[in-house]
Amino acid sequence: MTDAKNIPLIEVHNLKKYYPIKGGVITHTTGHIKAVDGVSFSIPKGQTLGLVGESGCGKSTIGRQLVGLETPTEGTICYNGCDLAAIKKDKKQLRQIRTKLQMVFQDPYSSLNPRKHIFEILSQPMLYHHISTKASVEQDILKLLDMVGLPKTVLGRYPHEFSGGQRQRIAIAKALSLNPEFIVCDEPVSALDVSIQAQILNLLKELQKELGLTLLFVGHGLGAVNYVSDQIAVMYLGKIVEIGAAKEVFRHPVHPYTKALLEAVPIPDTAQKDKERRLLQGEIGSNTNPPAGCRFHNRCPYAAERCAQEMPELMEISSRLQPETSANENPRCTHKTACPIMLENMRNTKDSTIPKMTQSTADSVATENIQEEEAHG
Amino acid sequence: MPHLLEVKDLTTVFTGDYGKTISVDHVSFHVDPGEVVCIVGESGCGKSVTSLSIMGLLGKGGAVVDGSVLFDSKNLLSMSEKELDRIRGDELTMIFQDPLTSLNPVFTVGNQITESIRTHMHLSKEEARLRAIDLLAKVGMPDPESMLRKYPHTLSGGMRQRVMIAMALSCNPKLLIADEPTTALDVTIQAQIMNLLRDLQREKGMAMILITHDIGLVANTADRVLVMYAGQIIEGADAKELFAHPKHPYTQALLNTVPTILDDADRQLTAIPGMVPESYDGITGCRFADRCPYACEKCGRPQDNYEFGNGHTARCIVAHVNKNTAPEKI
Repeated sequence: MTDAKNIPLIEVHNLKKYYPIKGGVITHTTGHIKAVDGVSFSIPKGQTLGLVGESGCGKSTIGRQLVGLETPTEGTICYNGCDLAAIKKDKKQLRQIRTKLQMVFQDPYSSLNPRKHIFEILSQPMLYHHISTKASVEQDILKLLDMVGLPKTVLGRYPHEFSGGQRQRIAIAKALSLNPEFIVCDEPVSALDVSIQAQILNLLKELQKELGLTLLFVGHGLGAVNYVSDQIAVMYLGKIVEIGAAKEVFRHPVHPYTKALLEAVPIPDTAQKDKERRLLQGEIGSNTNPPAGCRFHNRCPYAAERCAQEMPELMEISSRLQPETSANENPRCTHKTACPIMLENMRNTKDSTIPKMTQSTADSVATENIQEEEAHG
Repeated sequence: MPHLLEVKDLTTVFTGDYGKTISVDHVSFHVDPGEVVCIVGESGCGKSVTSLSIMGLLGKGGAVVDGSVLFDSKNLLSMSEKELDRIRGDELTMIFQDPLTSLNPVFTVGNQITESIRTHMHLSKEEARLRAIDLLAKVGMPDPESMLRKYPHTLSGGMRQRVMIAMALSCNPKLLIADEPTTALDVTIQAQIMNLLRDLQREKGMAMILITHDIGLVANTADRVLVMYAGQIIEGADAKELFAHPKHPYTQALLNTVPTILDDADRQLTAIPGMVPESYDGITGCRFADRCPYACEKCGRPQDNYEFGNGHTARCIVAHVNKNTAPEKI
């Protein structure tokens, strides 16, 4: 899947996170919340993976596991080829690796310590990890502030004196202070106003280009995810149901859930006003007791009998090289989906195109025939 | 035909420890029967306060100091609490952003719905119960009869919002104010709720004010759009007209700043520099001027609401002067 020179920076294999539910007269574990249930993906260096899905689908849990805030129940996370679980025992090495994995949280109001001024917030981790010395730390911080577009007058101020957008800039500066290679952005713009969202998204994109960062962008604002991501993974109840190049997944969705999700997003185009939408019925199920077989089958309009019995695996859709813009940097990211029914449908109507979304702006995209390859089970 | 709701020069002031803050400044607009009007703007621009002022729900510290609100030709602002109670929940209703905090946690769903039905429609207990079941079925609740006995905390966000809608629609209102009804919900649930609201609105011929910051939602639901910035309505037009030819630089920027799922990989979002002014008491001219790429010295003076034909208005002198040139060129 990846070329030799493109070793993925982050590789996740069969990641699981179960939270025990305690109950009973004598407290014991009565069940598990299966937040993440067998997820595999990889992120090549310098790229962004967007993780989308409804609340409770486990996308934030994945992010937290990647930076070591949660320990996986099962599965492996490899950073630059070395397993994080193996490093765990070596405290010194772990400390070193943690500087390389950073996180930007959703709520800039609760992720900064209200009792510390900005200089303290930014300098402490740098001094602790010997990234900087007492003599040079101020210089380094000024460089950081410049990068995220804040004036140096902010240093003596406290978090409550800043607006949401400025706080998020500080949080980004904090994440950048340890020269990380990988940053998890957990819904970094959903608490911000629309006019500020674009500022932060542009900043993230610029910094990524400048510093060669690898990002995991978790979000439920699909527009924002589309804007920053090279690859997109769609999650439903702890499982990835579709993954592939951003353009492929959003322009030519295959899995019924991805389709329904995209259909539900209101598009700023008044021509869409009276469009009849095929809406999903019902609500996301519980991840304590997820439906057997395909987790989506009880809401799926295409569900067949076998969907309730066997759990579908991710299968390749096409071998076509998708990204059109930065083809030389991008490794081939295969478009995969966990819906055998749709794949069969596509194979049966081989000449036809993948069902296309009916947005007016998408019309410009030429409909291309999808060459099917044998699906790997 | 007279307007169903006519708001004129509505000005709302909040008095706090640090003095007075004008949060809605001479806002005027109208809503016709059966029409969907969207108010868009960022947080703090006064869109929610406008609706609370109309409903008379400002609470402590807030007061309407100027203007009038005519609903069915009756001035709501001069009514006593008692008179207002007769209209609120009956002809004029509202649903809020967070359905958990707007439902009473210690009463069952049935209790809360039948209360408003019995107060306004003077039905017997049994009749009210049947009507409540009917309403819950209409808003798409599975098994409405058992739903009546449930408490709000046992329901999901989408279900709670459905209960709120059932309550709001229980007396066949003429006007429903929906203040960010789907902001707390997931996209797929948002689509369900918006579809439901739209269907019910059409079926009953009810007018609706939808307050939101989601441009996509506006495009999909509005007949007419009002854009608010820093306490003022800075542009108002037919939805189609507004999206096709936005006049005010803020509206233009707002439409450009939203990433969508259909964007190309190389799209560059045009961010609006700076941020919304925290207090605008001292600003005499255009409140957007310090973030506006077209600002000139004329913007320092108070801005009139200029007409652009077909009910399209914008509070921008630069757009007014360049009326006949392309909107992008102002």
